Amino acid sequence: MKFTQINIDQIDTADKRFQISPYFSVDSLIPSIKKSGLLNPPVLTKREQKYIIVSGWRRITACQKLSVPLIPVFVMPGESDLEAFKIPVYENLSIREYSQIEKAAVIRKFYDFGEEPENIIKKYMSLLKIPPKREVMEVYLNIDGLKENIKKTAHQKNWSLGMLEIMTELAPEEAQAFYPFMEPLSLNKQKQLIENLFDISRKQDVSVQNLLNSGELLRIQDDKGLNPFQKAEKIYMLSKKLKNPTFNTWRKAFEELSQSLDLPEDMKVIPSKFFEGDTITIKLDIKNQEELKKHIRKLKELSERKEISLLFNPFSHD
Amino acid sequence: MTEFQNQIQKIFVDETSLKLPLSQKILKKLNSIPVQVVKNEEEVIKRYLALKDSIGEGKKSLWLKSLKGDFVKPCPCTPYYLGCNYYIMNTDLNCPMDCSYCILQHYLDNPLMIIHVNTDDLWEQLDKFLFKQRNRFIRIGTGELGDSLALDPITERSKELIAYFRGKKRVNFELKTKSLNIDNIMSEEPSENIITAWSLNTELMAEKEEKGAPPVRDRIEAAFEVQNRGFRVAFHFDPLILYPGWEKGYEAVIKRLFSRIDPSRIAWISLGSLRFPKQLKSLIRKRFPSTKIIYQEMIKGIDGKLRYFKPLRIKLYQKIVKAIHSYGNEKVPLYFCMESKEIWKKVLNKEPGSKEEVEAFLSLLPGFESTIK
Repeated sequence: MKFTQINIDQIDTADKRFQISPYFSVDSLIPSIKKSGLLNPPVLTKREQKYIIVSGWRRITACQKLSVPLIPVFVMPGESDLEAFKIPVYENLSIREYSQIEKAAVIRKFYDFGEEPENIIKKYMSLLKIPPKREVMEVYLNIDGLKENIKKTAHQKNWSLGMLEIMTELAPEEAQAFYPFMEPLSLNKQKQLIENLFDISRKQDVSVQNLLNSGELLRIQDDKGLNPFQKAEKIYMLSKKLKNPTFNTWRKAFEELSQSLDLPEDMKVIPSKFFEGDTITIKLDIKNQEELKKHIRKLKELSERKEISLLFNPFSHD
Repeated sequence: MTEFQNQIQKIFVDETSLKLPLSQKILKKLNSIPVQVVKNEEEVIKRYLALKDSIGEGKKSLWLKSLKGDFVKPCPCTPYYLGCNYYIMNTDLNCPMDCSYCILQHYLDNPLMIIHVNTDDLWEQLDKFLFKQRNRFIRIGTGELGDSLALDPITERSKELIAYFRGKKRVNFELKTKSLNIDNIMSEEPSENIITAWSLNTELMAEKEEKGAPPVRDRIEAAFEVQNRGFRVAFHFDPLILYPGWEKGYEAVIKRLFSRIDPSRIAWISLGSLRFPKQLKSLIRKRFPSTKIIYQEMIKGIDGKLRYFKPLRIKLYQKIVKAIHSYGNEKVPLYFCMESKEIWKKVLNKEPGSKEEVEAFLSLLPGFESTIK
């Protein structure tokens, strides 16, 4: 590898063949380059008489923004794309964790550069901390084929493999259909929304877009009184109800029963998770002995009431 | 007979196990199939894992090897739910059938079908194990991490196992299968403590979700023959699956079952509803894209596995139990696999305090009263 200095305009930044992630920010790098210059030279190689970037997209973009005319670089000899690509893969691996989207890009590029699938599985998937199985490699190849907007959100929100896997199993129109409701939600809710809509659509044998374009789900989208965040939240809540109708009925019945008990604010009745256990929890917030006595009186009074027994079984299935 | 051996395309044999009698017997029986002697296990596994459908491909290959650890282990059951104190014998691992819901797809690291050929070690270990446990009842079987009879025509293992366990009064030995491979059993003298069990489902579920497995009516016919030979039989309705029409489907199977099988010769019937670790769901989606069984209303159980919401399970079990009582009788010992004490109480009106109590209840010989309240 040859060390030299070149004019930044000589670099063809349109050629992104070795770029693993386009989702980077240079904001934190600019002050450092301003103060000390570019300390770690990027790696370039020549293709058809042009310099292209092998590794160092952030550094070069930051220098462009700062209008640095000359930059120090390493120039690789004319190795194959496959060999050249190993440079950024190993370099990035040594400094940070890859997101699932970046892992997918790495696998796709190795595949497209002609690396044997067996080598990708044995060598690189283990390096990327991915289970070394062919089925899993296929999933990552499909993830790389997702639409740009989905990949960007997935990278930024650090979507799990499970979420992305479902996205790849949806038809592109389906994935796009619920994408607008994903953005405003937290990661956990995004995950649940994807899973719920996928499961409901597959159970009912309808596409996700048809599901979203019908009934209550459509009414929420058409509601002009709701902002995008409220719509997303409502769609998320409705997806939970549609996915688990019996559980939802139980939850509602339990809530109504506990409300009918007219408990003080600092006393709560909580069912077991998913009603799977056979106990309920009564939670008390107590500041002093007097409050404890008050609560004990209340508990005694509650224990006599008929509604309490119903809490253990809101809909009798005995 | 179910000819699963016809799907075997390659045999691997560990170098150190090549000369063992069971290896030699199998190689002789399958002498037209290519054989590779294995020196590096990891290489073989990695090669299979690099295949597009490693699980499906693994079902076409047999691996003869020696088990280095323990053959007999307590059934892992599942945390927080009530077990039955069962012991499993890992003689063979994996299965030539390809059921969509099969936990082995997720559980086993090695996708190939493995036959542990070091049978001398098996007998030695069994002797020691049974001596250690000599003061209690034992229920033990080979059908947990593989099908007990699917490969029996080539291993003839059932004959040896029956001979070993015959007359061991405190041990109920169970061969659990979906196959029709009963020839070896039929050639043996019956014994009360040797039980052949079939996993049953509705005909529709068997057809859709149990690829390679014979129709349920044929399984019942095989059970009929084994029972007629003088053996006791058992059945496992596991996994019970909710789908449109499940009530009629299960009722029809139970009706057929008791039209052929004498209830007094049934050692036990287990009930378990569909459940699986979440990680298996994506695998099922991929390997069985047309299945719908994973999209029903499921919650995360206390053990972390996905299972039907409890009221749905209770309804499902109650219907099945009612059908068993109505077409069979109320004396057939029923138990749950991986369920809570609450379910036992609500469905069977029984309150076993522990897995030992469940075991004792299932180990009773006909005519004895259960100690469970």
